[in-house]
Amino acid sequence: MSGDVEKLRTVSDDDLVAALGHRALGADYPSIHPPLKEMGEPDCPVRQMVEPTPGTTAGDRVRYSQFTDSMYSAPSVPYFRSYYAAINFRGVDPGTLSGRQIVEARERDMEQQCKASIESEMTCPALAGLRGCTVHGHSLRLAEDGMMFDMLQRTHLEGGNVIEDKDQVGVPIDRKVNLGKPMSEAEAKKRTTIYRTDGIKYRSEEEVLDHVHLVHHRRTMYGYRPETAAETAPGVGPVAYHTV
Amino acid sequence: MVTTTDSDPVQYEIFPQRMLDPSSAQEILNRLEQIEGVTRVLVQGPRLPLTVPYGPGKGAPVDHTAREVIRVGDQVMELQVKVGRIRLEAEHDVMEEIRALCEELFPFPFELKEGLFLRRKATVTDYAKYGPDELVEDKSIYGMTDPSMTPTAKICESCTDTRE
Repeated sequence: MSGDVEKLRTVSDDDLVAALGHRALGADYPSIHPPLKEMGEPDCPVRQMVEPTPGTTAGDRVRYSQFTDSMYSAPSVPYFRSYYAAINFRGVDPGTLSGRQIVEARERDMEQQCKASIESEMTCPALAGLRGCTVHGHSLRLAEDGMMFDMLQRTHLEGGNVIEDKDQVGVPIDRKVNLGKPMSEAEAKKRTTIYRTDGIKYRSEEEVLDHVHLVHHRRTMYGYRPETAAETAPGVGPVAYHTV
Repeated sequence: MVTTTDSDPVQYEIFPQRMLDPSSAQEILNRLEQIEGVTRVLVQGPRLPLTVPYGPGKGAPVDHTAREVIRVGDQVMELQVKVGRIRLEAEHDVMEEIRALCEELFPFPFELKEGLFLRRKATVTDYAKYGPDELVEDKSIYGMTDPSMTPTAKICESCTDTRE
């Protein structure tokens, strides 16, 4: 969230443009209005105070990038992507849904944010991906090779690396974008922001029960002021947060 | 116990922790077919479309590698789904044989449940698709088809469109 994220891979600008699929490789940014300097802005104190982003200054179109994060130990969840975008980048409009996260911004601003996001530890190429549509793989089991299901198969494993050969809406592109090696299972579990256990009965998972009791206790007894709660729940015994 | 009498066939569901590749699906389906008493097997999972169904890329070819032609017994078929679960019906209890088979083939955990997964009686939808129950020769077709299947998409010879 703070922007202090580790950079794990490098994706070239051309690869990013191809994967996003908004404009042809090497083409200039299409614009929807003349550059601000030529337009002459009204005399507005807010406009004088706020420096426009590069995309706004040039009059870029508004375009989007959308990420999907698997529920099976993907490094990030959509909310963290939105926090990251909103806190660290200007002129972006993040939208958060259960399985996907979209950022709308002026084209070059969006590309800058998308590149930072895809290169950082928030993204594992096997467990997360650029998907402009058909994101339902986020809630499905992984394939045998550890890839998140994608009915449009925008990415596939090739020689141990994840290769993207379609843009984010599933249209084939004429290059293979190498997104690098997927995280190992242990690495993904170490970096993930998702709490998950499989194959264990709910009632025998003490950590979950403990936390559910704590939330229930605080919500019931202290309403909208959970921070004033005692650390002991009646009938439950001592309760404590477990950070995962 | 869902079955009503001892003579009723029993049904099982295999739910692997990973979705199966076509080769793994072919392997387990062939091995299941060899178990004595297994009468019906159904695979279920997310559909693999031929073209992008919606969005800005609508109509672009998908060419999914999981959409492969597999051979089960003496039948050849094209997988239209990524195999996520397998449901089957047997004439008698074959739970332990299936468990042993799954333990042999799957390098990952799986769930194996007994229950009622394939319906035995015709529903209103079945009536609309196949006609009155007494006129349907092969009643094992109930519960084996995709509910959103179009009448022209036959899955076997006995599955005919009886609507006028």
